[in-house]
Amino acid sequence: MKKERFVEISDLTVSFPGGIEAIRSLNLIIKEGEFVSLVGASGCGKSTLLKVISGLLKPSSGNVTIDGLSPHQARKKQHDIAFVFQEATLLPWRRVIENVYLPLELRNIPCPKEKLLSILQLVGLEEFAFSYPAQLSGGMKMRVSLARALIMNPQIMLLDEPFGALDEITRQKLNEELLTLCEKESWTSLFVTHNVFEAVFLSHRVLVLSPRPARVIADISVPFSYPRSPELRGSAEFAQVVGEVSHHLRQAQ
Amino acid sequence: MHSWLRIIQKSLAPPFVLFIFLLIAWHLGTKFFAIPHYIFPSPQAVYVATVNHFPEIIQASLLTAAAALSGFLLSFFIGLGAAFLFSEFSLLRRSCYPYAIFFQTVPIVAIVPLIITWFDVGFQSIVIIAFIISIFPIITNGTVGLSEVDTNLYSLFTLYSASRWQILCKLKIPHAIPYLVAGARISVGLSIIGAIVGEFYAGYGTSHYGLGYLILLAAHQIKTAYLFALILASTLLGLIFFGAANGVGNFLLRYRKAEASSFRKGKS
Repeated sequence: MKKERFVEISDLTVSFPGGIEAIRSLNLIIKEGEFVSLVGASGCGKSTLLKVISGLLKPSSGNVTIDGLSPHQARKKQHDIAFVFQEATLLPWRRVIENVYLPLELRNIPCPKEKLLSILQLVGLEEFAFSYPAQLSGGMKMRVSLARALIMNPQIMLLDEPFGALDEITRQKLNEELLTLCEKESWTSLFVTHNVFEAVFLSHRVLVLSPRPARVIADISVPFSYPRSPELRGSAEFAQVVGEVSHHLRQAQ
Repeated sequence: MHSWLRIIQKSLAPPFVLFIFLLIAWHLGTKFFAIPHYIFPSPQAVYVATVNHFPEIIQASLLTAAAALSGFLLSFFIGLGAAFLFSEFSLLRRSCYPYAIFFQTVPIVAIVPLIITWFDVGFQSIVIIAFIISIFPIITNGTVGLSEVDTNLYSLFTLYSASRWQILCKLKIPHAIPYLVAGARISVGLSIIGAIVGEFYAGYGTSHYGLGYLILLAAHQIKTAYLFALILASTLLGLIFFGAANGVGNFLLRYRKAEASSFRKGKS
């Protein structure tokens, strides 16, 4: 049974010292297993929202709950929250396989090499298990970053523009791979991006945020069923949804 | 052609040819202008002095090396300790760091007599001089390396509930290693300068006949060819130290070497 109110954000306000308000009175409910994208102008507070959900940042007022728990409690109770940053954020002195093992290592959970290799196989990097990050391309590093997030069997995936620094071809390929993984693992995802095509291609729902302080100004359901094929990008229906999201984005400015 | 042959031809042959050329020019120059050997000895004279004084030069080089190495090791570990305290306790850093910078600007030669007043002439004073002159690059580089970790990496460790100890061992220390390697490269060179300068002042009247002491002695006795040989030995010592530091550094930083071979498999 999927929970209807898995992530619940009510009346969230985040302001920084110096009086800059990043988020004002934001309300949001995410179903279990849902893939939600956040689009909005740069610096509008999207990343701040992910940090609050992960518990890295405390809200100034309002509430964030994950399955009824605070982010901090949720993390302690093994409702694991994985965070994927815009940069791959790997430890350059560790081999790929050791980077993937890091989250378990920090919690002193042993993990057989076979499991690590199978995770790497999932992202197509098993032959590079013993390479160093410096030996990998940008797209491959990002795959390692995804594998590291997957190793915890997370319930929530927070992705902060993970493919923003990649070229278009690699980005599309990784989008497709992410969708495949998503169906297999059925986690709940929050995906921050600038790219409307990417948002529509991946998500159940696309949320358009206003410029700072961030509020949800449009909540658009994407009507396509999963699994989605790459051909979807060329269809007229796809273009229509992209048009609708872009329209709201323009109005937000 | 073998690749090592090409390397020899490309990078070793030109400086070697230049070396031979300069040697000939030096020889002809001293002959042609009839320069007195005590002003500028010929290459043969330097060679003869080296052979004649070989045991002393080797013994002095080993003593100087021991003093420089002791000074360097002291400065590395004490400097690392200071850098660790500075990075963990920001109040300590803010109060002490300006003084660390200030002391760095004190010319070491100016305080050498003071060190001899306190610690007397001999090996211990020379080590202390080498230590003081070589510690600052370790402190400054170590502090930067231990404290300026990428905020996203830091967030990642927090997200995975890493303890302070885990953050130190698995994030901060490995992150600081390239900085410490850069600091150590500067520091080993300085430790030799410190040891030789120390021997100028604190190397006499004891059993410590290091290179610095012999350099002064040779200069006073106007044995210029011997002086040349000693300068050559000091230079070689510096090269060996720098080479060793480089070797250890390259070994520790081998993960940075991106091998082009892994791209051949053609993954995006």
